[in-house]
Formats: sequence, C-alpha cells, structure tokens
Amino acid sequence: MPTRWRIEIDKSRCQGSGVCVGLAPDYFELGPDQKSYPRQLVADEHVAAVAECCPSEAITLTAEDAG
Amino acid sequence: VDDLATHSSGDKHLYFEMDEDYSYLHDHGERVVWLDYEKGMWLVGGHQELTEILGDDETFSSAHDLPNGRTPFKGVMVPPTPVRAVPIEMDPPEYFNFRRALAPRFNAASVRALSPRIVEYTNWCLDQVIEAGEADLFNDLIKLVPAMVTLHVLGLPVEDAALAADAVHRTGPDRFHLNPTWIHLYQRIRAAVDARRQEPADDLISYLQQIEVDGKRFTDLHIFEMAFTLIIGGMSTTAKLLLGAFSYYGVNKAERDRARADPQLIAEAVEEFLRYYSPVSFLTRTTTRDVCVAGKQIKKGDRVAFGFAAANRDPQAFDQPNSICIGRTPNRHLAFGHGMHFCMGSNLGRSEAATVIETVLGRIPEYELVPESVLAGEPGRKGRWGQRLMRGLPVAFPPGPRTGPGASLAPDFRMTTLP
Repeated sequence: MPTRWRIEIDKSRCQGSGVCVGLAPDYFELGPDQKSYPRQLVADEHVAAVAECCPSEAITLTAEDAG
Repeated sequence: VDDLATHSSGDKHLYFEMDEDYSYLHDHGERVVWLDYEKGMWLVGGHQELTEILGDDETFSSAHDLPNGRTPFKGVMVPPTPVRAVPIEMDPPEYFNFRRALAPRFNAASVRALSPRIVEYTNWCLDQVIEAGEADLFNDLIKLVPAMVTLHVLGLPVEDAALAADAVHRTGPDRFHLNPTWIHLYQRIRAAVDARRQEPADDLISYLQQIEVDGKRFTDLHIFEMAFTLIIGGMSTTAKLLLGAFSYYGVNKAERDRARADPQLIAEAVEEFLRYYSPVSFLTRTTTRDVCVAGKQIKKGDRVAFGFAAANRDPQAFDQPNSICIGRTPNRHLAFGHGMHFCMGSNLGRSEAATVIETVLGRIPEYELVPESVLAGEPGRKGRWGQRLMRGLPVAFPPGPRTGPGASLAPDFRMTTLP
C-alpha cells in the first residue's frame, strides 16, 4: 500500500525562497504574499524529499494511509 | 573626518558606505541590457523579471561543461571555474539529490551548533589587534572569520583561512588560475578526502562520504567539487556582507549603538545589508532556447547574468532603494537568489554575519574609520563600494585586553603562509 502525505506549510517560517516551487512546481506555488502554498493536498515520496530541501524547514508532511 | 559619508573636498566627493553602481540600470530606465564583458552577456536587473527567470531552470541552464569553451555552457561563475561548482552548476534531475544531501548540514540546528565557534574565531582575530588599538578590519578579521568557518565545516585545516581568503577575494580573469594557493587548497581537499576514508570525523567531507542518496554514494570527484564550491561560495560572500556592515556602522553611529544595546536587532540589519550590499552581485546562466525578457531577444546559447545586486535596487520593488533602511518591510531581496538554487548556506551566512557583528561591537564598540579608508568617487557618481575590497577597512579604537580564543583554537594557533 503506497504511503501518501498531507502537505502543511508553516507560514511563520516560510521566507518565500522558492526552493519547493522550483523543485516541485506541480505541488507548490508562491502566493501574492510570497509564501508557499500547496497546490495539492496529498503528495508522494518525491515531494517528501523536496520538503527536506526547504531552507526554512517550513514544510511538514504527515503520512496517511492511502485510500 | 567628522562625517565621512557626506564629506567632500574640491570636486572629489568622498563616500564611505554607499555604492550606487548597482542602481545604474534603473537610473537609465533599463531592465535588461547587453554587456561587453567576457565575450558579451545579457544582464537582467529588473526585480520582477529576475524573479521570473530564476524559476525557469529549463530555459536558463546552470550546467557547466568542462573543459571551458567546449560548449556554450560555462556554469554560473565569471570567469568560468576550472572545477565544476557542484551542485550550483547542475540542472535537475541531477541537481536534486545533491541539494537533498547537503540540506541537513545547513539547516538552522546545524548552524546554531556552530555559533560558539564563530565567536571564538572572531575573538582570536580581535586578540591579534586589540592591544594595538588599530586594525585593518577587513584583512585582520572580516575576510578571515568566514574562511575559518568554511574550512572548519568542510573538515580542512582552519589555519589555511588567510590563504584561502586571499584566493577567493582575488578579482580579474586569472582569479581561478592554478597558482600556488589553489594548488595548496586542492591538495588539502584531496588529503582530507583520503584521510576521512580511513578515519571519519564530524565534518562535511566525512558526511558526504558516508551518506547514501537513492542507494548511491557520492564519488571522490563529486566531494571534491562540493568542497571547491563551499570555498568559493562560503568565504567572500559573508566577508563582503560584513565589510558593508562595518563600513555602515562606522558611519552610522546611532544605528551601531542601537545594535550594540540590543543584539536582537542585528538580524534585521543583516537583512537590509544583504539587500543593499548584495555580496553576490550576479551569477550567470546559459540559455537553452531563444527567449524574450523585458522586450529583449535572447538567443539560444547566450550567456545571461542574473543581476541580484541590480534587482535589489529596483525602484519598482523597493521604496528608496538606494537608502539603507534597517527594518525595511517587506524586504524581498534576491541576495540569496530564488528558486531551486536558493543559496544553500543562507542560514549559515545570516547567522555568521550576526554573530561576528555582535562580537566585534561587544569588544570594540567605538571603532572609528580612519581617513585612509575613504574612497574618492567621480563627481556625479558616488564611490564604488567594491573598491573597499582593495583598500581594506582601516580603523582605530581604544586598546583593550586579549581574551583568548576559547577551546576551538590552540594557544599557539597561527595562519599558514606559503614559502
């Protein structure tokens, strides 16, 4: 059973570096406030690895069962 | 020299901490221009345009093919380096695993752990000059501390900091040529890579040898390339930021007193120094297709300079862009770039700068700039702040006692010199 992840972004930490948007544009976008917003509610393991690259450590992924 | 910032004598205007070169494009209403520099390249200096193309890594490639000149892809440095700068000179998908591997070594917790050591390195530099009551703050401290920190992070001998700093602050077409200093540094990297294979330590080289990403390990060449990149990316950057900061505080005494009284304010000052002094004034890319930016037709294979410093003075993005406004909000500067290549060491650079400022202001809070520091500018065009690198930052202050560096450095610690 594949693991799925729920994306959450801590707006107080996000500095709008654009790292997540650059690495996974299908999953993240910058809002007019220059903060990152998830474009999808669930992510795969690639996005989990992208979250590790955030210089502000603002992205949290919570594993949830697929289904 | 009561007020060095605005003092003028005859037709020579003397400026201390200001540099308006970066606003040249905007003074002429240009967003993108062609430069006759290194065989010609575009310079993008509009904040909005630059932010957009920083998100288009497919069109604006970071790739670097060696030997230089074999293809149009020359990476991000000017002149192109003899070693590929990894991972900044990589495109996806190759880039991703490198970024992912390095990230935990440069996160907030890793940087916090380095803080006591940064204080001790700063104190060692201050100890060398504090009894004399005068110093060249750039050559005696500012250029050294970021070099010491970078060498420590990598696991290379910290006593090479003076050599390494002089190598990376060199400008001109021969800055990366194989001279005795670069040969020495390359040998140090190779020796460390060999030694850590036998006996790992708590340093970046050991970490990169041990980590697996997608079931694969990094090669010795990749580790060498990453060490090279940290040397060219971690030293002159923070040093230029600090040079700006201490020039500014030398002139703006009220802000200096405020920072000293409440060191919590230093972080927001650093943010504005990042915008104003933009230590990395530009990096280059190579286009993979014809593209139009701000009405300019850029051809496939053209070199494009991403003008971070110019964009950080764009009046369309910042009110009073040529004034240093500590506490500026919002401050969407591009000093660290933007997008997937956003500076790997941003947390370290910010923290290092704030720590050095706090430590120096704690020990020589009343340093004065001496007249030799003053730059002469042409009438109508303010002094070029970059010249400060050549001139250093001579200061005077009431002599004080040595404190000792603490546990990080041996009592007889000395910088390496080459014969």
